[in-house]
Amino acid sequence: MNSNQLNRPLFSIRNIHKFFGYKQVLKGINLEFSENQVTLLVGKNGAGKSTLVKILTGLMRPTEGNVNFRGENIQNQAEIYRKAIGVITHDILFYGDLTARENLRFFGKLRSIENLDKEIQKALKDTGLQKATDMPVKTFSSGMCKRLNIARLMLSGPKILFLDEPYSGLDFDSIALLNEYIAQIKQNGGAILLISHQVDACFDYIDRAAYLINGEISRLVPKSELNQTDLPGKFHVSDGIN
Amino acid sequence: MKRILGLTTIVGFIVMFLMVFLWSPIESSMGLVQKIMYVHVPSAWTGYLAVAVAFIFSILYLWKRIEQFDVVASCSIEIGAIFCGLALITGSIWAKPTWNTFWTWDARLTTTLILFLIIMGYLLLRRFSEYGEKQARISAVIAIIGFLDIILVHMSVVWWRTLHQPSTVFSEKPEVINDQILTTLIICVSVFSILYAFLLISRIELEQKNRLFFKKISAEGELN
Amino acid sequence: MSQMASIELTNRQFLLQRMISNAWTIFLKDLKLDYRRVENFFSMLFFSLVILLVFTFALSPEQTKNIGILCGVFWISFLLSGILSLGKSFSLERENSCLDALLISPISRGSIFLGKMLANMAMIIVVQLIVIPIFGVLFNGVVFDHVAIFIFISFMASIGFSSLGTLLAGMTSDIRFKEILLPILLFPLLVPLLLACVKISQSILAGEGLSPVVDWFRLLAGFDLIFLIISYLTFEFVMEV
Repeated sequence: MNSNQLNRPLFSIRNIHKFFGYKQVLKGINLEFSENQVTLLVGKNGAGKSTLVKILTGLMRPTEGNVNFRGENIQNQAEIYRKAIGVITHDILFYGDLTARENLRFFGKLRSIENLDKEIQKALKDTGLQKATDMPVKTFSSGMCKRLNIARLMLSGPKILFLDEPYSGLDFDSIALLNEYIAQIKQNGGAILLISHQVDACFDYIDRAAYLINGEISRLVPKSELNQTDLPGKFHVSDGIN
Repeated sequence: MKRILGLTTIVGFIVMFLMVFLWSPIESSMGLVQKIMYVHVPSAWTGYLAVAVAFIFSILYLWKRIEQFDVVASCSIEIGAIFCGLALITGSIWAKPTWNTFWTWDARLTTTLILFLIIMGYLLLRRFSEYGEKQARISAVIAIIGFLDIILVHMSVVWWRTLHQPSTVFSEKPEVINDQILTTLIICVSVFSILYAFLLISRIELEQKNRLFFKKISAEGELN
Repeated sequence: MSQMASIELTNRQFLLQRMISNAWTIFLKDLKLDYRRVENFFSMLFFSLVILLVFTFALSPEQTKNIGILCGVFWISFLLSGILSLGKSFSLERENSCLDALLISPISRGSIFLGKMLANMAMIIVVQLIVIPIFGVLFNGVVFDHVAIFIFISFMASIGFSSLGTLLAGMTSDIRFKEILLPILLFPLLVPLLLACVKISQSILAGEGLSPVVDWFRLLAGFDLIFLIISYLTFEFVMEV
């Protein structure tokens, strides 16, 4: 690996614009993400954070601009890209009528994971869901659903994580579990984009904060200049106009 | 461009009226009513032309994702709806004095009716979805499928009416065409096509102005 | 040069295999969900029977002995209960945003289409397996001798119906009034399929067998093939959020 490849961003966003009908939600987003990096995305409700994540996961196409993974447009390598990413959002993303094990088997098969049953057992154990292995997901609490999501991520081992309010509904143990998992991904060279209002839960490991105001990244603040009080909760609208 | 088309259309219609009422002969079996054919056939032809144009531009849209193509496709379908409806109505008006019924399940009329329903489905789909890229995409898919389907519909309806067909009073339109009638018909079809082009360009202009207007309002609304 | 070509070929074969295996996984998952929510199946079945019953009362006894009318009634019931299957197919994906989860998985959109289309076909065929004998009983055993052929025609019809239906159901799954829009869009498109099925079943019930209607059979097969391919190809355009 020459030094060029080491400096190349893991994935990058180039000039993304997104219109919903006549309303422009994203106005030219440019951002680069490197390995071993956690980025906190900050913005008011409706600022376009979830839209940006949907574009990054490939669910939506931007009206203009593109997302590059390892230098190439994700549209040209959709399946490779999707193998490398993982998502936690406020949606449940599991079939309520299937059990935890059946859900994991289904998604695991789609990813052609080897030794699937063994891996599932391990993942359910690591996330503390052993007892619920054969219970239908519709009986799960939202915290359990999130933990099942983490179990699914453990099966696929993503390189990039997109977390949209991952802490909501989690108790302290689950928060610790999630943080442990995030630290692991980060250490193994992963890049993480995080949206969260629970600053105390994540402050320790974020590397920078990106402020999404009026559809643009108005500020990109590295950890060294970041104060816990700068983050959501003490968020000022005036930031956007400067 | 639009002005040329507009003027040509008006001139064309004048020529058309002259030919239809003064020059072309009165058909022996059906009488004066037969002249409705000079509106009915071109309307149907133009309706199908409009859908064909929409088909091409829908494919182009899915391929290149340029908003213009979606504008052309949807405007063409709208105009196609008008001509298709006109074809059905004039078909009824022709049928009543000729076969004493307002509707006949004749193959071409039936296919035109089904096309009309598919067009209505397209327009409803556009109404029920919000303006945006998704609306353009799914309308394009429907236009493509509808066009390909109509070809199969035509085949099946023709077989339906001709194979194992018990004798019926409603035969296919009599193909009693002599040269004069044929020439008049061709002129009418051409005039209607030019009318279609004129309407299409006007409608596209209107739609573009509309979209530009809303885009401006939205942008200004953002600044407040 | 030929080595490159053979690598390309194995690559394609591999992708095709993956696509089919993913489609199969999704197909099995949909069946399992249908099994857990078995009320969906029963509602389709009883709706089918209710329609047959309504026609029995709406028509006079001489009319219900008429082969042409019987075939029409049968296929109307097929279409209307089939729509139920299509609607359910995507509504259960929308529930927990599972469709998004599928779309983020490293699988092709085509495999999602194929899996769901096969699941819809399976539901329709299973319902027909029960409805056809009952139809035979209700209408004086006239259909009884031909149960096997009817099942075969239903199978052929379900291919075309499921292909276009799955595509359109996916398209309308997040639009207002989707329950009404789906039949409005789908039924005109299915006219060739409907005509072919009615003509073929009429010929069979009249005792003339399949030879007079070979052309209709070819039309049915052609319709199935064309729209299976086109729906498969255009499904990805419909699936972007």
